[in-house]
Amino acid sequence: MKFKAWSMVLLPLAASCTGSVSPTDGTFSTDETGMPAQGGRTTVPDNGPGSALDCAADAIPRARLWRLSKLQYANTVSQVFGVTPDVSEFPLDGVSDDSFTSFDTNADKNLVSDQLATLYEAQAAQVASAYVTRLATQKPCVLSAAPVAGCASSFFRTLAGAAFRRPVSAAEAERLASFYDKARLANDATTATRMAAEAILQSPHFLYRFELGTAATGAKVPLTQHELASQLSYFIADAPPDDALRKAADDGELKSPAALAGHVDRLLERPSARQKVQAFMASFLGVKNLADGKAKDVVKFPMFDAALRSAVVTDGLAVIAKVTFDEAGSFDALFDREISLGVSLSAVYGASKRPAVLAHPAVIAALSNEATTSPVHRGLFFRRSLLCDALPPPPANASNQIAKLSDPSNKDGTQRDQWVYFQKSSPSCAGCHQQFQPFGLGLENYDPIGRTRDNDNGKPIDLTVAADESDPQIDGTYKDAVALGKAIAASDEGRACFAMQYTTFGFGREVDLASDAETCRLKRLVRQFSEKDLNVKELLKAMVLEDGSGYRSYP
Amino acid sequence: MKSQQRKVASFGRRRLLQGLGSGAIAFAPFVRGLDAWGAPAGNFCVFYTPNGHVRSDFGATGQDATFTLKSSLAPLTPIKAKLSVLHDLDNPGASSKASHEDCVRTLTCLEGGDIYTAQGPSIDWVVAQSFAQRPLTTSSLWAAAPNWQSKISWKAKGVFDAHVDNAKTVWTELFGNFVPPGTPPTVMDKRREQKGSVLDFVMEDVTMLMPRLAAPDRAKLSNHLDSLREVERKVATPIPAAGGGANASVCDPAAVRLRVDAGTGAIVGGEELARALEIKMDLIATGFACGNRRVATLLAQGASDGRNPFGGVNHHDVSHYMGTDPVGTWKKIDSWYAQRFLYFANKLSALGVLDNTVVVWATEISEEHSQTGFVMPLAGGSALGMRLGKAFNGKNTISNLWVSVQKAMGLNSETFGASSSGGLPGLYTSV
Repeated sequence: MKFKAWSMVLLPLAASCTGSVSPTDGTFSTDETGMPAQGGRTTVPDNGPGSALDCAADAIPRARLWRLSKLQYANTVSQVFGVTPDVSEFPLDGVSDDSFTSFDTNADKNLVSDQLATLYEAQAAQVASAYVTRLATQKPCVLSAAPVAGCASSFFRTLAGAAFRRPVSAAEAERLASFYDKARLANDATTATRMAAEAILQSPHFLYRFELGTAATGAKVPLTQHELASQLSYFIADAPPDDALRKAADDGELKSPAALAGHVDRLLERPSARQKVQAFMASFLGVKNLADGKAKDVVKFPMFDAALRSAVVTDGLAVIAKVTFDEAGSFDALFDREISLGVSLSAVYGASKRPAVLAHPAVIAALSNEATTSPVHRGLFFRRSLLCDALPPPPANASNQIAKLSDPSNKDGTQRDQWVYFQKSSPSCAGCHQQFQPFGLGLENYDPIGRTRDNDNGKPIDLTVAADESDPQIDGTYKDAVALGKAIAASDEGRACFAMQYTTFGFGREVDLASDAETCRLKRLVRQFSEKDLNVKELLKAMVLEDGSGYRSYP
Repeated sequence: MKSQQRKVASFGRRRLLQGLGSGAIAFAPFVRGLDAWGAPAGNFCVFYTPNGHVRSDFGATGQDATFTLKSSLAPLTPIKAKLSVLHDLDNPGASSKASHEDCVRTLTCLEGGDIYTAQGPSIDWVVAQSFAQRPLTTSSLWAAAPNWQSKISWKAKGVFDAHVDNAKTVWTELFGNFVPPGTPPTVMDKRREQKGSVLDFVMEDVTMLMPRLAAPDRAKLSNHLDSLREVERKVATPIPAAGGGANASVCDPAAVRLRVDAGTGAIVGGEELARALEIKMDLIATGFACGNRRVATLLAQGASDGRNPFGGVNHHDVSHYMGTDPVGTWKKIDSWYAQRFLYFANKLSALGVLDNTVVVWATEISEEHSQTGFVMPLAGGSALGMRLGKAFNGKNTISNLWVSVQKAMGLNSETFGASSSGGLPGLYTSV
């Protein structure tokens, strides 16, 4: 079982949401226990005396290659070759169907398609051409008209070393030099150098991050010093190791936890570290969908054109970075700090204050349908993204029942009226929807583009949200969904989920909570995270410095 | 420096490819225009729109060649002679699901896999691979990021081929090896040789790395290697510029690039979708006309999704009879897409490739959200043996439609997917 809440067993929740819906009468049958839709949970004892968890072993990720993301590719080319590539045509990085949140970093989903290989080839040609032009002023030996003994091997050893983020072997350097020599037989020195640079730019050693370790077998294989340096640098800043980190790896200094921590602290101060946290938040809160072009209905919301959408996204991302990185810098600040909207939004959004980041138009619009507020999607955000609950996909034919979501005799009813109707019209579907739809109703004071509103179809809005999670840290009745978010952020469950989400994003892998080691790992992170006032930088630091991060496993 | 002792990257295969020479390349589409057994080479495109259609108005009345197009398909009247309307098709391979998720099976007609995963390959891949190509899979700008709703093209069992929605990426994919006007042939030959040498080196790099890896990463690099072979093929087969080749009057990548660069402008709503689809249709048609890509799949919007070109309740909700006058709105959407289909057929015709191109308009579900009684328009392909200007009314299967397409494309097979045997009677007649 891949999905399991970090400290809970989800079987009752899952059982209420599997099976199939009868296409004729909407009745629902479960294919397992036939249990009613209660959504209860069973707590697993914490790590300690009598614990059901075995926390002796670290969670060791499997060895792998991980293709550079679009941004990582651009940053790496820029740093190594001093040329900015054009990645505007690159396809979107891949998402995983079964992620809790659609992060685009999954290592298993980011392959080199023929479209991408074509673009790599085109960019390699352009970048290498600009690179050799720039190189000409330095008059390196590879550009001399007459061959210079030993030159190519030395030159490409240095260049490939920077490009591959590790020292290259003598054999690798010789192979590149041989390619250059052969190219020189039919071309001039500049062309041969350019061709070798093109080869480096398309090499798998350049295009993938290597996490293979020092051996090709074993359950706990240490990463090489340079793999560790790359992991640290890309995890924090989406960029290759800088000179200082590279030198530390060359000198074997990263074996020292203190030295490693020093580099983490240093990198976390770079603007690119801020951008990376911003990128995580954009996916975590759904804003990325809006940035990627999710539009609104042109009849209902003609004002939400591309320009306003862009302004909303820009303002939202700025506010998110300010709150979660620059100022409070904490996870709970998403739900408990009043924010101001930028002046560029005032014409449409009016009053500039919002109770929390969660209520920013960028987040609200991202979590809404094109023409409706969609308590379903808003509620799913709480269930999946904030609580990491693994709702199974709807039954295959569930979408056939969609008409029963709204009462045909009360088309002007509020969303809460429609929810009450849906519970009666399709009780089997409502059993699963009960797990999330009521949460979404707590944001009904925001319309589909994120404007505030005080009525729904002319009727007053009841924002009350009741949480019954069998979790005293979360359970209760809240005045609205923002308040619920605040309670979740204050809970161990919510904090563990946040750490899990960043693991999925930052390490590009699903977290398998069927593994005791993974659950124990999250518990450790929650402890550290809580002790550091939920500071996001501190969480990142703990994640990249934890023991398991420095190792890989082979099957 | 002892270069003789080094392992020297192979230049041998490159010379062979280079041997085609610029003269041969100018005629490349025509050289490849005949398959080994002499049948005219064809192109094949699936035009996919989501959420099914209102059957009462989507189709044709009458028998055979005397048919009359129903109102939703009335926009296609100008190309009636180049069109056949296929009624009452079932997708037995998908019947147990009977929902939008069956989009993963529309082009495979195979049962199995979970609700978001198909068996495979799909018909576009089967046809493309018979030409040693990959299909071009693309979408409008309104399609969602790759997820189950856009999974219609399957390379193999469980191996989904993601669509590309960036028009510039599609152009590069098709015409990245476009020869700019005025480029001396010798310069291009030289550059091609250089690029080929680099690719040889890179492919060797990938191959050398594979034994070190565990199985999942070996598979990852195997896929990478396939992609590099595709790049190699494109590099070895440059596209002549307009005015530079024997088919210059129709093969004009520069013209379509202008359209791509212009984008959709400031227009919004349905017009924006229309322009975005037209750009993709221009790209596909030009790719066919230039002879460098023969199979494409164009996804208008994802299954169980779909913004309404007219605004208001979205296409999916309309298909569930939500909103005011859902049937009327749904018919309007069907008719709107018919106009896009007409544009595509006219574009193919203008470029002289409609008779050699089969275009099928597919969807994932029929009106009752079942997998029975699909109505599918098919245009083009008369020179390939497709019988056009006719309504086909007998109950049959989508599998058999794909068998007929296979035959028109030169594949000598009587089956495809589940429940097929010989194709739709009378649709394909050997040429």
